[in-house]
Amino acid sequence: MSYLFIHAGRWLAPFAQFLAVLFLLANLLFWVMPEWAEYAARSFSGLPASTPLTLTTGTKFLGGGLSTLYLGTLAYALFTISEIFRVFAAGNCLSSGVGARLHRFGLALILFGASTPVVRALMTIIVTIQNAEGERMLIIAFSGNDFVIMLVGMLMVMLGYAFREAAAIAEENRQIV
Amino acid sequence: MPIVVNLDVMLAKRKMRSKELAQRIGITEQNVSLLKSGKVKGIRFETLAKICAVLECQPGDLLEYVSPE
Repeated sequence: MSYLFIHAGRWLAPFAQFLAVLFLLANLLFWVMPEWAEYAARSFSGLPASTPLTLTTGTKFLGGGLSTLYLGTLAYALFTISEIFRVFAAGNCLSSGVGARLHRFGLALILFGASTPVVRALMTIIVTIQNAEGERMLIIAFSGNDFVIMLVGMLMVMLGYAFREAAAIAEENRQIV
Repeated sequence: MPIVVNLDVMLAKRKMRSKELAQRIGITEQNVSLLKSGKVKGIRFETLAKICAVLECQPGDLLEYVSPE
């Protein structure tokens, strides 16, 4: 395994973990800070600035909880790739563990991509439920990004399977003198 | 495994140590030991040819099929 892979794996593993924690903490901070909560609500719901939002403590709690669950999937995916980088850093790229982790990473991406429209719809309900009648909204929208993320996730699941096969062949090859 | 490796027998006949064989065919002593004990899944033709050349024998002198029945 090349020195570049090992070296990159060493600093990419903690970086991926740092990103995962940063996403979760930044999200919580956005919902807790009164002046930033509206920005977070609009980002997750996709509501334009012209649409009024009513953010009470309850809606902020629900919005924060939903977004934390949603970003939790991404954080899980980032922790999984951090483990992959750690295996690469150890110079052991063709191990069955990498395949299993790639599989898990792919599943997390599929879940993240598939849950995006659901989270968007639920978030619009949460942040507009306290609005006056006639101003409550529900947005059901699919973006191209969601499908691309799911496709990449499916690719990762397949690569995980291929990696496990490759690791099994490599292990068998090691037992041939 | 019905295939028995008779490398230890051939080494004894040629009065050669595993270490020397390993050095002469270019594999580790540990691999020679694994080969002797039959704890390998397979042997490359290249390795087999080198062993035959060093021990001046035929593949049949090193490998034997024993019926499991």
